Amino acid sequence: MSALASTNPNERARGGIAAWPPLLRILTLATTVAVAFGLYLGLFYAGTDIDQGQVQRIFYIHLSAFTGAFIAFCGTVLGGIQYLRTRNVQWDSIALAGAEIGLALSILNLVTGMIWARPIWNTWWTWDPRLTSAAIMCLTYAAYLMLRTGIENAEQRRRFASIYGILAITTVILTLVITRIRPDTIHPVVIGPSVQNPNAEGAFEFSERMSMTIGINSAIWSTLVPVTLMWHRVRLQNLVERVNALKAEILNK
Amino acid sequence: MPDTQAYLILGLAATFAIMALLIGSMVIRHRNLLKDIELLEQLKDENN
Repeated sequence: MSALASTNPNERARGGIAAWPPLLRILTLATTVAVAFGLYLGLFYAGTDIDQGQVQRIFYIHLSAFTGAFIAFCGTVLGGIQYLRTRNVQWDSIALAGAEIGLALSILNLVTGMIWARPIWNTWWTWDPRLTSAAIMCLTYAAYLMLRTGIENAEQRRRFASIYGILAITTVILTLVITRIRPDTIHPVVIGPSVQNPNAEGAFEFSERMSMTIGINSAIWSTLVPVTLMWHRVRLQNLVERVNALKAEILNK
Repeated sequence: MPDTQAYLILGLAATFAIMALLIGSMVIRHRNLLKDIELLEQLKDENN
């Protein structure tokens, strides 16, 4: 936990890349290189799908963004549980970071899905069970961020956010399993064994290169991307806490 | 094979835009918070 905190005055004063902990610098560089490598694989290494054409390559970002969001939202659950157990503010910061980064990655997942759907389903959006549950998931976490700003008492806010963050994971789980429990979805089930829905539109056969590209991109986006972004967000939250502490100190004089 | 390259480019552009918005907002908030801390510490010193 101490590695996440930045209370050193010199560090705060400099604020730039030089102020980052060495591990964060390495992690940020590794994440940038890995994402670029994953993108290279998706664009130039994996073959072109004969039925869908070039747009199928969006799938490598679409699925990977969801895996990243899932990990970030798990961070929110972990942070929430640990905050309720320990009342350590750092856990609340991790929960908040998970919600914000997870929301951004979920929006990326939704937007890339819409762009893929336009030529494949001939529509930007349809109220399909998977799309609807994904939209509900996004709105649930957007509400988490908005509701946090609505509670003035810090302790109350953290307790409320912890409980909300733990409960909100149900929308993520619902989004994950809905293509397997609702027969009326047209969203293809791509990962894992499933009885493929006969209504699914846009499913594709995986070549060996495609499988490898999906595996590598998912691994990068579910580990390096959420961890690096959440670490940066936690450091930002440490500054917010510092500002609040200074304000309280000045007002109480 | 259908020509869907324009949608791929749109998808990539959207990806870069969303990630740039996220990272950019964090950078801006970071800068603003550093300024706030500097100002508040000045105020605190003046009050002492």
